[in-house]
Amino acid sequence: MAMRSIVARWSWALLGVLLVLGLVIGSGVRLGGRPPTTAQRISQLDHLIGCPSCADLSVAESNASTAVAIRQFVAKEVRAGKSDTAIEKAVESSYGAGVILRPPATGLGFLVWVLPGALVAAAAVVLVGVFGRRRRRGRSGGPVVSDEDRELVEAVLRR
Amino acid sequence: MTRIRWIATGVGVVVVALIVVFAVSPPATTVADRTPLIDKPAPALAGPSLTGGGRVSLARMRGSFVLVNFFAHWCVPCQQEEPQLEAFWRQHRRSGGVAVLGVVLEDQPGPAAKWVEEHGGRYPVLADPEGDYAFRYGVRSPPTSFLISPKGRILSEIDGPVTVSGLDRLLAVARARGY
Amino acid sequence: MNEALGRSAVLLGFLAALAGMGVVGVGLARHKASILRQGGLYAGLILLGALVATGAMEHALITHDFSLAYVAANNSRETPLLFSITGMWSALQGSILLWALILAGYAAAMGWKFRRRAGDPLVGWATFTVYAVAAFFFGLMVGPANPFAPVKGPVPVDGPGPNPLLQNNPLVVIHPPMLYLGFVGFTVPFAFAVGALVTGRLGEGWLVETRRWTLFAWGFLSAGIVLGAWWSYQVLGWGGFWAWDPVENAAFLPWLTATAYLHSVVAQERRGLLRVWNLSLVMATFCLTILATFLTRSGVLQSVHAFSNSNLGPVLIGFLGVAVAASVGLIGWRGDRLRAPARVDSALSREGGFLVNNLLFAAFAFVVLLGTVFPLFVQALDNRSLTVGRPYFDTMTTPIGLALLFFMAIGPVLSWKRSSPAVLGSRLVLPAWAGVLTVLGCALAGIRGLAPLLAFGLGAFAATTALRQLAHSVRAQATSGRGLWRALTGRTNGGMVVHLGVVVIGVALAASLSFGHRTQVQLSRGRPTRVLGHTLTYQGTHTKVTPARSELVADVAVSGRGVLRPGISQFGTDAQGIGSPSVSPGWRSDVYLTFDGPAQHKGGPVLIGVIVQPLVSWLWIGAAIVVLGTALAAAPRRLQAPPGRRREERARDASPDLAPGLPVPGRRGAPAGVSAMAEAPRTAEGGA
Repeated sequence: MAMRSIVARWSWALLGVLLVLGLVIGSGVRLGGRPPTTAQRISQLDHLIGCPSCADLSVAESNASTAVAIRQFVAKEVRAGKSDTAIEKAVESSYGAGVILRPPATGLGFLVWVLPGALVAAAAVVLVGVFGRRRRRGRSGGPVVSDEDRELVEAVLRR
Repeated sequence: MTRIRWIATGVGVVVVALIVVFAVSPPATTVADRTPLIDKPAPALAGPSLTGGGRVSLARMRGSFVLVNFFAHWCVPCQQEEPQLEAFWRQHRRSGGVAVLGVVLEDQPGPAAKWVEEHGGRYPVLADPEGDYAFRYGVRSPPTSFLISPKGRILSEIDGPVTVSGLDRLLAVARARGY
Repeated sequence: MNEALGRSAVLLGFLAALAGMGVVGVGLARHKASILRQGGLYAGLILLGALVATGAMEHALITHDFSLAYVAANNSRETPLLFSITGMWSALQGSILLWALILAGYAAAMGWKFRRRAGDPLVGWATFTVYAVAAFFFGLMVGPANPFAPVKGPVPVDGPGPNPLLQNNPLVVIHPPMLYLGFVGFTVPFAFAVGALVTGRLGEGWLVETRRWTLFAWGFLSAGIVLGAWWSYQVLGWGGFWAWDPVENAAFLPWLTATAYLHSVVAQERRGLLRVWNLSLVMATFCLTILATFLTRSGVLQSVHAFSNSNLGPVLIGFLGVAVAASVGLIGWRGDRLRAPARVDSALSREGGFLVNNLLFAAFAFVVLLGTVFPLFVQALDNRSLTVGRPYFDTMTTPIGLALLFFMAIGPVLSWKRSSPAVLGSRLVLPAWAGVLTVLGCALAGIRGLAPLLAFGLGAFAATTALRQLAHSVRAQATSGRGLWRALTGRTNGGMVVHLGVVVIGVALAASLSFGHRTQVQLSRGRPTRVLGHTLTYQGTHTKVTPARSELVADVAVSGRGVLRPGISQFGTDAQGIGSPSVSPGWRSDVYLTFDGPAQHKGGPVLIGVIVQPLVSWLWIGAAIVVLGTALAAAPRRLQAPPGRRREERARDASPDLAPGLPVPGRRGAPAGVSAMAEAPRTAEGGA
């Protein structure tokens, strides 16, 4: 029994190591903090800017003439060494703030980013609180049931 | 009050707020995304005119109202508005004080040249082969027109085809406001 | 003729719904079972009205009766028969008629199913609720959305036909009806929830009654949503299938809450937990279907579904208000009686797993709802425009989706009340190895990106759990001499099949969204060009003319895929060309071509859009597995019952038909279906 549990523990540890290994290889982390390439930046910006003349799509996904013009502008500016923020600002100054598909993290837009997380956190706190109270109550009250007891009962129930 | 009632009340309040917002929201189609360019200096437009008459530039048109009209050869409403634009231009060419400048979104060179050939000899038209002008002016889909003040500021944006009467009204308002 | 017949039929349905409400209302007020029983008959009249009205509408569409305004606006003499028939749901008024027809069908089915218990007040209140909803929708057709309104002025000789986008692909035949079967189906559980709250019989009875109804509606809604995505992929020409469009989100919201409900309801049946929560989910699901209708029909949000805009907004928002007020009010009123008799003992238990599952689904729904309506709030409060698009939804929902996959792997192996970590470990070790090896294998194979890798790994983790559970079930049924049918049916087994389908969809989503490529190329005739790993040869264009449309088609040979034929179609007098993409589906990847620019001169080069996305086909396969699993979950398990089955067992199978509201043996002695499936893995473990 003890042997088995040791084997199990080691096998889980091995699993963990392999998982981390796989994720590190696969995430393609830029170890030297290499900045994204020009092509990556252009693609990111293209996915961020909405096509002004088509519903829901980014300029990366559309071949409407406005989208093509914006893509050309973005490529030109990135190659000219402009920052992402500057390029976003330039597109906004022509088409308005609504052209950026990602809501801003400032002003009212802040709420749309924070509310879901806050709500989940609050719900999680409530749930944890409920479990914590139960467990404490369980300890002071009724009989203490150990894992072994449970195993025994389950084994009996299985027959 | 029990906890459930508190929660129910809270949910109710949120939903009521939601419904009120829905009820007062105008249809999305009427909330045209307002261009951020209003009251800003009009981006530069300059180049050889496709309809003859040499090089034109918006900067040199200072001192008179300018109607900048973005259009494309493939766009059906542009063809519909064209006689109206023509009439508006003729009407003001005599009295002065108002100029018209066309910009053709030249996504394919052939048809645009053919179009200009057919319609030559009228108000100046610039080509926009890279879509750069359209981008600077935030044009979503042709036809889109801008009224520019004598001092070179953008006064209003007109999405869709223009009419002579509509343009005259706009002009009257602009003049009344002292632009 | 069509007009008179249709109008009378709509009026019949409307009056029957009102009369039904009246009769049932009187029966409820006077506590008279005999009156209540009569009330059940009105469902038949409502259905008759809906059927005749639908018949009149279809007849008018097929015979091109342009004296009806609806037909004149949505049909033309050239419209093919198929799209004449589907014309009924290509605009507002006809869609409301379809909604009313399906609702009438559900009402009649409900009346038939519960005919022996029509005298029960709980059933009476449920019937009353369904009639009220029916009265609303028939009322819409009597008043503001009359599908049989005569055309104004002289009868036109021809009409413009349906919206071009709606006559480009046969998927429009089934997508809207499926979606509506889902949407409208949630009226039934909602009605029973109202009945349970009003009568105060808040035991597990109403749940057990509506279990299959909910499953049925959920299956159709799932199918409807995926068919919509498929249609979008096949028709819209941008190579995508989901754009986080407000109307898409609106259909997704009730799916999310309904999915949460399908899970948490098990915790209530088995242990009486989460009663308020379950009622809230059922009611929220119904309210969200109305919200979806409102968002689709009011046009307050910009959407690609703009063809369905109307002036019904205020009426629908009013109805939504009433539904929400009724739901919140009833739950607030009965809140005290809803205390659960049992408690969640440990987080590491099946019920704890359901709690986490529901938290995640609720968060998912909240993100989607918030993102969808947030621009309206900002507009109203700040008069600024802002867009909440794909970057937001992707950022927020990816972690939730991955967490759902993770708990999908763990949930099914958790025991009720409490699981010991050691047992849990032994049950999870195989799935965990599958997951980790998948991550490692994919990483070594050169796949880069944290989110897709996690999706693949967690997908393998969850799929192995589901397969393990199914294998145990098959073995357990085999040792007890029962057939394969019993091993695969029932809610847990069917649910595991659904899980497999969801994993397939999740993996396909991750792959196609992360590793798709798109570009645009100019192709000269006869000159092979290498694009995104395929050799494309443009062979020329030809024109295809049918009475309804003329299409300019480019023939492009794709290496290994045959000739693809993207086109640009012109419908009738509509000047705007509609691109029709050409898709070559494949097991590994789809090749998707669009005709972006025709030749400028005869024999000149054409502009072709090329999109190559991996595993897209598996989205549709996964959806088919989901539907199959839903059918297995809802299937009766008695088909191949061995002759020697004990009588009590048969009686337990029949328990859902016991009187409602009584403390059905839902908690301790679970209905046979539930217990058999939940216990199966444990018994199998004993043998191992």
